[in-house]
Amino acid sequence: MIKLAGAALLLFGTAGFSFSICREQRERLRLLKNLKYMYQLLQNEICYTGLPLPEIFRSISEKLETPLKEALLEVSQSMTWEQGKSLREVWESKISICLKGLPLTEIQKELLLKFPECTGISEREGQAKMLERYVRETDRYILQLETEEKSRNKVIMSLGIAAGIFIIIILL
Amino acid sequence: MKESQILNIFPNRIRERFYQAAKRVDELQEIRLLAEQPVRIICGGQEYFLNITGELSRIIGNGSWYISTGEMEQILNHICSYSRYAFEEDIRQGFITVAGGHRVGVAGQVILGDDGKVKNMKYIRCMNIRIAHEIQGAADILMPLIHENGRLLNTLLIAPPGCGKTTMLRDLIRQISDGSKWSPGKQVGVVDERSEIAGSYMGMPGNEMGIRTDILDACPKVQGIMMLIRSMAPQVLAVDEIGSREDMEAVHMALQCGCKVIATMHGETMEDVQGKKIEEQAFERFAFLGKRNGKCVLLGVRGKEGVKLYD
Repeated sequence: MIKLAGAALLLFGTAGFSFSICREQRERLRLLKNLKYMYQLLQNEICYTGLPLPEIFRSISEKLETPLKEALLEVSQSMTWEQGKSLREVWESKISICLKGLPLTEIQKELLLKFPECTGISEREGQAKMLERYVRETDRYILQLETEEKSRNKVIMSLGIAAGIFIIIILL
Repeated sequence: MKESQILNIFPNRIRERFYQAAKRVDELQEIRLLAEQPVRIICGGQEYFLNITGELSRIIGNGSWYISTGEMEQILNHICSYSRYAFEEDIRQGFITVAGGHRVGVAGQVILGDDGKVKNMKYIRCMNIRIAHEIQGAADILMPLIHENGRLLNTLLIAPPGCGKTTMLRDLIRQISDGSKWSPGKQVGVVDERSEIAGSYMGMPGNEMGIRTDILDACPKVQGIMMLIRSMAPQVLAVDEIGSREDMEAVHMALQCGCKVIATMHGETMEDVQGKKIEEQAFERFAFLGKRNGKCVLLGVRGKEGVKLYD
């Protein structure tokens, strides 16, 4: 009876481990979709309202999910005129804190950190177009992840359960 | 407050160089920046050169700060909140108004559109930061002269650039709006095309404009006058720097709607007024401002048909 309970627990453990790996993938996908939404909101706000970036960051932060929501609000507050810091300084300090522990790849994190490089264009349409690259890149990551997700998740779950059964057989 | 407004124009990296100039904020008139040239400060009617250490000097020396193109870019980016696109229209017009109503004039290489009109500007290498001065009480001398039996008269303020037209207009607005011993407070509408009168930043006036003053910020005069008349029912309309035929038509419209008009224009004499097609009949008082011993003063006031009221 004890052996049976132990085997069941082992099986649940390995399945849970596989599940957590799959959840990380889903979280990455959620973050990337949120990032793409952020770039699209930025494009729209630049084109149609023409407001300066600190104001846009504040207004779009309400439409985003954690942790981007809080990070953009902090960038907006730190960028107020009085502080005299550049966008690059503020962005890098706040966004790098936000990115800590997030399940994004280094390339994906770098893309977000490099956002200030695409600013400084003197026309609304031109500035919005500069953001197109960010939308496209993020979209590519999303598509890649979505295609991989289904098959990969199945493999991870199957491997997890199989590994559990294998260990049970060895131990028994 | 005003000292910090001046310092906030500059990014952190070079802010400290302007501490000493900002301390003399009451006398400070202009900060002139020209790429690869010494930074000039116009203060109390005198020209000074800014040293790298932040000290003001009357002569160019080894310590003079020759501002680089990179530093100019940094200043411009900071003024634009790192969002140049948001200031496209301002740059096209040649100036950006910052918090406190201070005006940053810019010059560089103009980009023309297909229609031959100025579309934008690149390589901005010249900047002139004009410091706005709010002097409460500046209009005390003029208030009795533009009232007749408790009635406010349509007034035109005439002066060359830098002689205090806007400062005088701002204080007139405040006193007319709040009420004074000459007349009770009136509903005032201000069309602040260049955000210079109220010094609005993000919709909030930076200067004291009175308790009954509605401000239409960054709006073309002609459209703004009509919008205010329709929506805010002002008793008095105030506009800065009129001069074109369209401006006069809008002023006439305001007069026909029963509004009193207080306006300013560039000029020195009555001939300048006539030369700019300003119809004398529209105004009942003409106040001439100018400089004496480096100070902005009221030089004279004329009534209709040139009657001298103050000299």
